Amino acid sequence: MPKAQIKEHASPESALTDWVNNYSDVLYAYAVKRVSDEGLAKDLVQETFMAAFQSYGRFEYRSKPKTWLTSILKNKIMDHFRQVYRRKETSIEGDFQMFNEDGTWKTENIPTPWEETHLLDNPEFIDVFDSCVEALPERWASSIRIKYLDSDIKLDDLGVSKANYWKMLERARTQLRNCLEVNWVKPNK
Amino acid sequence: MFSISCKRASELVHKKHNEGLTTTERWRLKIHTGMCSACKTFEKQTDQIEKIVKSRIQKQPSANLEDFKVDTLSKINK
Repeated sequence: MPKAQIKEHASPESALTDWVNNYSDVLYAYAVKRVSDEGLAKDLVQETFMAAFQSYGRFEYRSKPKTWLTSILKNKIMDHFRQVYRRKETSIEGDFQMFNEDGTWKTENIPTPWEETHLLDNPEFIDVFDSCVEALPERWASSIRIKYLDSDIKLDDLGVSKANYWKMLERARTQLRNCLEVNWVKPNK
Repeated sequence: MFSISCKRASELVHKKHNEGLTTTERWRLKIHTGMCSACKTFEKQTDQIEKIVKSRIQKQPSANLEDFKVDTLSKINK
């Protein structure tokens, strides 16, 4: 089978017109899964196209345009993660005090079983769940996104220690569970 | 010597989903949740949350980007 020919363009303008029309959706999907904010995701994609336009002369069509654009976008997302992790944690994001001094559950926190099974098939539950994820502090939500979307990212590059990253994941899970208890489990009891 | 507190058990549940447990830790947690229904429930719910998070985070978002494309191209062709 003949190798697919990558189309070369006469001018940066014509290349970018082609790319914006063809790759906006895939780049936007990539960005919004990672930064959660739709406006920010669009800004990052637009900045990616602008950067590609400005350095078009250096693109030699050795890689696919989509790959090149994605790598530019990836860098911009990494910059964003770095900014998020540089911010100090506020006290509200501190410990949840689920336990007594002796390591037993505090009475009000003792886990009780959820009745519902097949939660993922329940659209009402999914709405509550998504809004609980949205309510997470951004650094915690980012730590989850990195875990499931970019596990190849080096935490050192983001200025986060492994211990800190795990702590953030733990807090994200704890807060999600509390949020579900308040907004889903209790109202449905 | 073998018993751990509920607080420690919950830490191990989180560790399971982070870097993973050692064989000893896995047994300690298993023995604890075998005797403690609260922690057993906690482990089950945490596993469930982790599973749902994974599937929701990886879902494909959709958006109408026609205006975005026009706006971006107008900036490029300025």
